[in-house]
Amino acid sequence: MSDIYLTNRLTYSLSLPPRTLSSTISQWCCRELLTKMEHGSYADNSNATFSLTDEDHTLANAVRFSLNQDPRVSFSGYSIPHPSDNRVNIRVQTTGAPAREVLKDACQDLMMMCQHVRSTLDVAVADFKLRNPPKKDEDTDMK
Amino acid sequence: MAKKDQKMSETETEEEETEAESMSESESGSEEQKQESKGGGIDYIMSLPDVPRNLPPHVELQRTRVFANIDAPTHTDSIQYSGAFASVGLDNSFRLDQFRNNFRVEVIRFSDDGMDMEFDMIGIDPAIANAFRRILIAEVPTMAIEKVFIANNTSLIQDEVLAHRLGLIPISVDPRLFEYAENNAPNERNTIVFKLHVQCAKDLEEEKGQSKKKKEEKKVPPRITVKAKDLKWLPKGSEFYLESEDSNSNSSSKSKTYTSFTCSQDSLPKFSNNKIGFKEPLDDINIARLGPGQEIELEAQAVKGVGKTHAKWSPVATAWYRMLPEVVLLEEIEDEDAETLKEKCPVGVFDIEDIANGRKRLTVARPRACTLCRECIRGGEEWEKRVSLRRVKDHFIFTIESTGALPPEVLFTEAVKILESKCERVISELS
Amino acid sequence: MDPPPEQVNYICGDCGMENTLKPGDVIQCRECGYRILYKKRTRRIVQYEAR
Repeated sequence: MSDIYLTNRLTYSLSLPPRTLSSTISQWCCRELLTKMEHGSYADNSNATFSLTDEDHTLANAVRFSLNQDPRVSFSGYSIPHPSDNRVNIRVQTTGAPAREVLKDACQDLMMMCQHVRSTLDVAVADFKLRNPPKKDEDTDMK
Repeated sequence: MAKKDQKMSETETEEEETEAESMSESESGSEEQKQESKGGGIDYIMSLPDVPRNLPPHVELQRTRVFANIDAPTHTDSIQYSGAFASVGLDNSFRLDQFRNNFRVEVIRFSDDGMDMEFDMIGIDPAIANAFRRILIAEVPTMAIEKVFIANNTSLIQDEVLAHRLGLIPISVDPRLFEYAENNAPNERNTIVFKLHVQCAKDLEEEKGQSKKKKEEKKVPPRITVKAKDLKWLPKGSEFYLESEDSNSNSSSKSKTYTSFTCSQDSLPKFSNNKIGFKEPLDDINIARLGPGQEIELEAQAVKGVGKTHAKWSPVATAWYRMLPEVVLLEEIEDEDAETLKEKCPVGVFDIEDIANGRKRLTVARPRACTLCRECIRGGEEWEKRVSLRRVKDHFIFTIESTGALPPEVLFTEAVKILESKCERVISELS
Repeated sequence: MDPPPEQVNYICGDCGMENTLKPGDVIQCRECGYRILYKKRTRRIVQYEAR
């Protein structure tokens, strides 16, 4: 847990407070909720529920979108079991691939999309500012 | 597996629906098709650059548009499932290169102070757009006053109300220069200290001396409005001494204050040439009003936080998006009907152009202004057949109003970075 | 060793005179004898959460 906090801190000073980062993701077989975690996940790794703490619709819905677009996924969805727990459960059922890897790929896709969004926006803003330079001199004249 | 079957059956029923609708549309289509070339309709939509051309046109239309019908909106869902179009032999799975080719950003406007921004995001799913919006509001950090130490407050406003008001004042400082305080002692890396000491003159000699000039003003007691600019930055930290230290060791040279700064903040390179304070329009925020002889003396500590903890840390006044409205004339509307329809629209979407022989024709001049109020299709079935109101599902008109800490384009970039770091966290915890 | 009892300032409800009372003192204005006194606001620093 602590190494995650560190990497986030190093790469990105605006990241969430470490309090919300020091969290766990647990995985278990959905049919045996909370019981026999290891057993469930070892027996059949194509179906799994991932429980992310300190996350909400923001990430879960985006990841669900990304998962649904993956052809290996037969079902995916998320739920927030209780509004006062800061937790989401993301359910992934695949056609055979390990659910864990599929979820990782979905996050990877999402990250790549974000990077593209960021670079596109930077270009668009720079372009706009080049075309419409700030007219400060005129403003002061007006006053 | 049951879920999968259900999903499959959903897509099948969807197909059936679309077939049924295509029948009805093709019936009425014969008359329309002559006029559609200019006015709109399916041909127009298919000619748009952002529409992929591999689905049957009516399905494509339903996939990419929300229809605002007179009774209710239809086709409101976004189809994400990779196998949604498997029955027509199409792959709906995500491809990054495809996303890269289709995604566009167009900046529409910046306000004069550069703190409001409107831009179009085209070719992205609402799930992602909404994630950005949610992060902007709740998870991009700023600095805000969190602790208030009140030494004296004889004004009418109560201590706790005053403290609350101070918390809500936006501070124009880049939060990236600070750390989260968490449970650490306040130091020069996580805290900004402000001092507020204002006193209103008593209604005595000094005031009378002034008011000799204007006799009417004699009766008006002095008043002071305390503004945000009266908060003075203390780069060296708190000037209040802790009480226990004060009484026990009066003789000792250094007694402790409420903060433990190791150096002055204005000696740090990041603050030496930009003083922390309140920028032009934001320094005029009212904090309190003081009557004669009233006084406020306090210190406030600002720390870094996020909007989901408390709205005072939200970096935006609002951040919202709407989908691009699309107004399509299904048939040519001329003369009197054109005038009627132009008058019907409360936001002036339509315009009239003159064509040959003194006739007039309706055009859609400002579709972006459309609020989808559906006033234009009210008043009978004939109107519904003339105009189609839609929204483009993957075209988001995003507006960000910053509260002044960071410009809106930087806020958005930060929001995207935060979503990235969330993904990174999941990946690294699963590895 | 207890610290000496703190003196507390009061303002007379009638004449507005400031009075200093110690524990055990009669609650009465020294100036006009009025028996309603208001406590003056403390100079002690009070901490609030700005929420």
